[in-house]
Amino acid sequence: MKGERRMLEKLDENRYVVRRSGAMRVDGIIYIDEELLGYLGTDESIEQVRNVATLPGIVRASLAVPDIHWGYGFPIGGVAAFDVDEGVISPGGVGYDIN
Amino acid sequence: MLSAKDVKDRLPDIVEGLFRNVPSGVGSRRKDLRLSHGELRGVLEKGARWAIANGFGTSSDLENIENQGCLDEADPDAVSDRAYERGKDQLGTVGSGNHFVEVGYVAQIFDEEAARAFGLTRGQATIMIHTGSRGLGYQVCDESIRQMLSAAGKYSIALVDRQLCCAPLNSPEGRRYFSAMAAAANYAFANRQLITHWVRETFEEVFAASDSSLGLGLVYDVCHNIAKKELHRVEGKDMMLCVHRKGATRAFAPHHRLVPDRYREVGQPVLVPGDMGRASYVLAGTQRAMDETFGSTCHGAGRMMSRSAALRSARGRSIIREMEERGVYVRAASKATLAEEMPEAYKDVSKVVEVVHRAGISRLVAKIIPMGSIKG
Repeated sequence: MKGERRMLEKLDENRYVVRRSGAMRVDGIIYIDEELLGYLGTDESIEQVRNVATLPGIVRASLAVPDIHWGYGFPIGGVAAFDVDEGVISPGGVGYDIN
Repeated sequence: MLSAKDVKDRLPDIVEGLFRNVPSGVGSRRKDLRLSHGELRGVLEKGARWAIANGFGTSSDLENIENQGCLDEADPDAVSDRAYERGKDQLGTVGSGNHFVEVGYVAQIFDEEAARAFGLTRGQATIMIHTGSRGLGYQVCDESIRQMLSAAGKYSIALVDRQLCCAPLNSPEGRRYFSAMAAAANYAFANRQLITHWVRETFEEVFAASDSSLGLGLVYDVCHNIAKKELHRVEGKDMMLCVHRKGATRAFAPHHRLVPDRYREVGQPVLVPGDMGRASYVLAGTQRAMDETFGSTCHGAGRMMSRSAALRSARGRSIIREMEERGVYVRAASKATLAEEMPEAYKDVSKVVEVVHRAGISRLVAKIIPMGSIKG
């Protein structure tokens, strides 16, 4: 987690970015402030934001909202948009509790 | 219209009534509504429209549901027999986990204009329903993950984590998942519509008055775990995208064509449930959400403690009594669920909504304080 936290760069009071690197196709952007970031503890959800950014056809950024926490594959509190022609669809991006 | 005081005076009757009329808990089922295969097909195809056509609610409810409570892409044939089996007697039930029916009141208004459009006033009683597609949706997801693992191999998609398994949207596997997921989403729309109906009946019983005279109109019904095909503007170009929102809520801006007429000037209502002790919020969608987050914002408080850590921390305590001391009357099908769901297992939702408000991807409209709830 400490390593994950180091990947985060503060954009402003309410947003942090994980810059595109390695297999990532876009940046990761997390809407969160310093206090809520502190609650992530040993949570692996920042790594999950990075992982989602590697998927084919992802547009703009792999996004997360301040209630982010670990989920199956994609973080809970995650938003990812894919080009309908070149992108993918993933059950992990929706989760088990559909709708 | 019901005030906080009206409800407070009858709170035990209301909560006990809800607990009787809306089954909750793991695997909860309805003894009075067991759907035939054909009826369940109708639910999967038509969503909340099926519920209205069968006498659960009024057609004006549909205007205030995301996508009018029905995803057209749903294909009932893409759903397995096992999922049908799990779904036939769970329609109209809350389930377990973080799901609930909560009675509260509007404690604070942040945006008068939006609150007026949403029909919210200070001191007014509210009911919030949080549940999804129950065992049927779980089954759809579980089976799809297995299919997508082999699809990812077939289409040579490199996965840094197997749990990201996926398929191209326009592949047979991708289309199949999309139409099965949409069918499960329709089940969830119908599920909440039926619960809405039984919530109204419960209030009619307790207050011996009609639901319209009690002011039990639907403000909004919004999804929080879904993939949708939506048109968004990206770098100056309109693009058709498949937007995955997982534990995130749609937050479309004022004047967006998919926002109901009555909310067109202020933006789409967004419901953000918190934990059962502290607060919930109503927000409105913004243009900034359209520009930055594909019209999306937060969904809730977000867990801070794992379920097992919450269970350990609740050992030897009575969560029901603690909630009562905070002024919240709770009925639950299971003590373990209550422990897992205790307020301190969650982040403070007020801090979550402050971030999305300050960031401008939605704006604060009203704060709701819980008075009672039924849990799984």
